[in-house]
Amino acid sequence: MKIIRKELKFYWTMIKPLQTGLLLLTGITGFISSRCSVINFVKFSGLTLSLFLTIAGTTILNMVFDRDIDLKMLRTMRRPIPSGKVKVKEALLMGTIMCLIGLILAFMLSLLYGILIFAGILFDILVYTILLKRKTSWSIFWGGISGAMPILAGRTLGTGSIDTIGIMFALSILLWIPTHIMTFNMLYFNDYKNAGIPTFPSKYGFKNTRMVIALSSIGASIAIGIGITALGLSWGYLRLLAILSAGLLGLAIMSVLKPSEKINFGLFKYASLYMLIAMLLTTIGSVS
Amino acid sequence: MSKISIPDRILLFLTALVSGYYVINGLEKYQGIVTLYFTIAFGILIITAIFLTIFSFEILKEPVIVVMATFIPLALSLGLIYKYLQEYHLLYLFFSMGGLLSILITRYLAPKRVATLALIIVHGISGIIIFLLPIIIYTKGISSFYFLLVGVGGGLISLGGILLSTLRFTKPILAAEKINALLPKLLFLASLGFVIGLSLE
Repeated sequence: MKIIRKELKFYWTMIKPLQTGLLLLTGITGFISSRCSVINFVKFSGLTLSLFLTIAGTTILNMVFDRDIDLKMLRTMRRPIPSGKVKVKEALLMGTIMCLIGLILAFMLSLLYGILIFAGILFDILVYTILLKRKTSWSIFWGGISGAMPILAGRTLGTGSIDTIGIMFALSILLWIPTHIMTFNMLYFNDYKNAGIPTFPSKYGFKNTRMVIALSSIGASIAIGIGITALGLSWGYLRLLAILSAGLLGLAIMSVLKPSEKINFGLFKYASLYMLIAMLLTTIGSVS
Repeated sequence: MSKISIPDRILLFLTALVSGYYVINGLEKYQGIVTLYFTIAFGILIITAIFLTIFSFEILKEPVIVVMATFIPLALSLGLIYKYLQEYHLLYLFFSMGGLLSILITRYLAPKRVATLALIIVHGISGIIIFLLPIIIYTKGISSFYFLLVGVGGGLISLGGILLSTLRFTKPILAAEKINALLPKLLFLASLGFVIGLSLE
């Protein structure tokens, strides 16, 4: 029992619970925003389970493929695979099984939904992690596309087709992801440099990276604003979103004009909180 | 500057939550311009609570935050003036704009004492309006008893603003640690007073 608990603890850290949780929330938000009958328990459970399995499975597989990089970075060298707490083959098997079960479930729910989930896995593992991460700093764009898939897939499952609102929601996630990754690139600049991973700060400098973060934050808030407006949520929700967007904009401007590690990390935290609140507002606004 | 404790973080979260709830559900009953004023007031209250949670009290050193925080009592008092004393609205709007401008200019260009004085005057006058107007309105029988809570909130938020502005003095009224410890409580109680008072006015 103790061994199982220990293993579960390792896998819990390997699925990056906060990141997986937020992406899962985006998928659920996408589905609920379609105002499809949420009471349909089977569909809702299927969506939640398939998203969780594929997102968590993909994250584990990423850790398998990035284990040599993780070992070179102070921030990640204690992760279960590089530290030898979890065997590579075991993690590979676990990640693959989780992705496969998630995919089968997804295709059982809807063909289009399954294709989008499959595309998300493909972009993340093959295009982002295996092909581009070690070659170009622009790889985050492709990582962003895979991160945007859950919300698009969730909405598509609800509406039955890919629509403009879904694309705007996906765009907001795609633009939010650089804020997340680039902040880490700057905070752990030497780590990435030692591991030989090309990043925006190493290629274009800190100043330009801050500018990109600021612009992508603004872009993300515009995209989510358009999505929520098109969804027809009441003025109250739009007002609150406008307030939070103003905060994001202010912080983005501050990070460019008065750059510091604290402001950068603050912007990263605010952007994550912003996305979380935006998702919750969309969910509550859609059902109320 | 001290770090923010967990209970204070919870209070700041509740401040943002209560204010956010009012922004979503409470502002539909007002006329356009009052909605705008109250959106600004509650919006800045929300952002201030989030910024304090993320950056701790260090963010208060930023001049732009001090200027931003002035909008809370100013926008709220402007909304109240427009609603209950419309004939004075334009006059008070000019005062507000002048006050904001003077805070902005003195913060960056004038000596500390002058900047603090400007801040205290603007915070003080807007705070007095938020504090006294509900009392006057209630005694005239126009609003319910609960509207007095808006006044209490106004008093608290102005107290916070004035205490913070005295930090720039060589001898502040209270030590920075004490003011920092008070601030989340003041913000929460003020937001609660505003929301209950305005909802049940």
